[in-house]
Formats: sequence, C-alpha cells, structure tokens
Amino acid sequence: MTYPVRGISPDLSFLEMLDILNEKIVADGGDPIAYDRDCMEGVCGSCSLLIDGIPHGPRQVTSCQTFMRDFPDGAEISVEPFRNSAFPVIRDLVVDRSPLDRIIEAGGYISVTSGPQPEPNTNPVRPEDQEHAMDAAICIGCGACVAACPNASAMLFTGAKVAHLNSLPQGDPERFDRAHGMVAQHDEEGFGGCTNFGECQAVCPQEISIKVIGELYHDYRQAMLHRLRARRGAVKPQ
Amino acid sequence: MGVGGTTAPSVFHRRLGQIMLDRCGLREGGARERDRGHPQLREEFPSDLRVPGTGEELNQSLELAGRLADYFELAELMCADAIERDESAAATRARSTRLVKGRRSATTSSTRRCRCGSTAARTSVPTCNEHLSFDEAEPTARSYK
Repeated sequence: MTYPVRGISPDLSFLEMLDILNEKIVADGGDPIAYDRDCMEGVCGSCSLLIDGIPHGPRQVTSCQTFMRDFPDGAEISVEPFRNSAFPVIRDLVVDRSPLDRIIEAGGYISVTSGPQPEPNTNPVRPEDQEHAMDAAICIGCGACVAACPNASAMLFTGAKVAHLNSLPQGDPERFDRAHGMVAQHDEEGFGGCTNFGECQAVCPQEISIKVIGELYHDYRQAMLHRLRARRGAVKPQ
Repeated sequence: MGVGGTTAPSVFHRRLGQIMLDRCGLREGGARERDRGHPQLREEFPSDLRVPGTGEELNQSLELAGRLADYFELAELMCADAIERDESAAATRARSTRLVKGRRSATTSSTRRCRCGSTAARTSVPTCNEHLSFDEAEPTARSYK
C-alpha cells in the first residue's frame, strides 16, 4: 500500500507522521496502520520499524528519534516490520518479540535472596568493569540487531546481557549457566548463528559493540569446559 | 465496530490534553476556568468517535478509545478538585499565590486531602473527601531562594 502524506513538518518524528497518516486513514473510513511505540524518546525499545530497509531508519537511532527532516521533501519511504522467522508478524508493523524475553528468562538476571540487602559498597567494583558493564547494559531490547542481520541472529542482544552481568561480581557465581542457558534458548527460538557480518553493530541505536559477542563466545566455551569438568553437573537455583 | 463517527480516538486525546493545558491550569499559572470545555467534548466523543476493526484482533484504536473514556472522567475530577483547592490541575501553585520570603506557603489542611469521583454518579463533582494526616513525615515548604 502507498499512502501520500502532505503538509508534514520537518520537525515531526517519524512516528508522529504515522499518527497523522492514521488519523487521515480513519477519517477516510479505512483501518489505521498498527505499530509499536511507547516512550517516544529512544529508551524503551518498543518502536520497531524497518525504514527504507534499515532498522529504525537512516540514522543510528530508534524509530521514534528519526525525524522527517532526515528525508528529502517528496521522498517515497518504505516502512516494514522487523522481518525474520523468530519475530512473527502480529499485525501490520507489529511483531512478536517475546523470544527476546525468553532469552532473558534463561539467564539474563542475577539470583539474589529477598529481604534486607547488604550495604551497596559491600562488593567493590572496579570503575573499568563498571563502565564496561554499563556499555553493555544499555541495550534496550529493540531487536534492530536481529532485523539487520542476514542470519537473523540475536547474538548482539544475548552477548550484551551476558557481557553486562558477567562483568560484575554479583553476576560471577552464575556466569557459566548464564552463558550456556541464554545461548541454548537463543538457538531454540530460531535465531541464526553469528558469522561476523557486523550489521548489528551498525544499526544498534545504543551503539553496542560486537565485542560483546566475542565475550559471549569466550564465556560460552568456558561454560562448556566447566560442564565437562563438573562431577555433579550444574546446580539449578531453587 | 464503533459509533459511526469519523474522528480517530487520538484526535480526541489531543483535544482533551489541550483543554487540560489551556483551561485547567495543567501548565503552571494557566487559567483555571469553570467552563473548561470538558462537557462539550465529552458529548462529542461517543457521537463522533470512529473505532475501525473488531475486538477479535490487535486493535490499538479500541485500546485508546477505552482509555480515553477513563481519561475524560479523571480530567473532570482533577479540574473540579483543582478549582476548589485553588491550585492548578497539576498541583503546582497558581502564580497568584504570593511567595513569602522566597518560600511557597506550606500546604494547608485544605490541600491535605484525597478526592475521588464516582462513575455511577456521572458527575465531575468529587463525591468523597478523605483528609490525610502525616504522622511520621510532615510536608514542608519548598524554598525558592
């Protein structure tokens, strides 16, 4: 479908332009175009549009931070959902990204007891480790990395979470189960393997480096060796 | 589905927001008018709303229309309450409130309360009024010096 949209201010965001288009479609008796959005400020990871074939659009930001001034006047812009087999289309531009949630459930957390928490400075963390963890933790889970990858791999997403938690002392006790569990879930969801294209890094709105994939491989190999050596097998948290 | 109108829910959402900004003091120092325009917009809403599609599939227009129905009630309650307590609907003090030695006057007993409305009563006038008591932490005044 092709929709002409006129009188759009260059200062509008791409999603605001879609809102104007939708209001016109509704007024003309049609069905509006469904798309995901939430914060509208680039931090939640909800918006997920393939704009002119590039996840989120021509600049390395989220769809909601892509503005109409990024396109020449009169441009014909293609808009598609994040297409791959692991993200089934629900409707129009809305896809199901719950596979990413299940990867997190498979180890993207730290098991701590409830109740009184220790003093925050009980576990000293080197500033370099803290910076490194934060560089990975800023992943917003938008899935642009998957949409950009020719293999539809979610390794940048998975690697970011593993790099984040495995860099910190609180994440150390579960580092092997985390790496192994999250990679296993990633493969089960139908994502492809990483062959170092680097397209993910090029489109990530949080500018996460593919170095986290290397760290993931390192921890995964150690996890496999650990499993070979373990006499009792992995102990699951209760 | 829908009520046979031509206007998308997002248009009503924007108009309601504009009324809150312009007439209900949501913007600090904004006018607080008794004729806020809510009743007129609330009458247009069910007659001019269009919700395409059905409830059997993902329908973002239907979701917004449902939330809007609640927003109308909340907006009227917020504005009615703000008029009574001489504040804006955003709970910022009106510019007409004088500063005393650089400090906003502390909250008074008239402002230490919780208001609620009733959907069954179909009125914007608050129908319950619970006084709040602060036993452990007393509210203090903000200093602008």
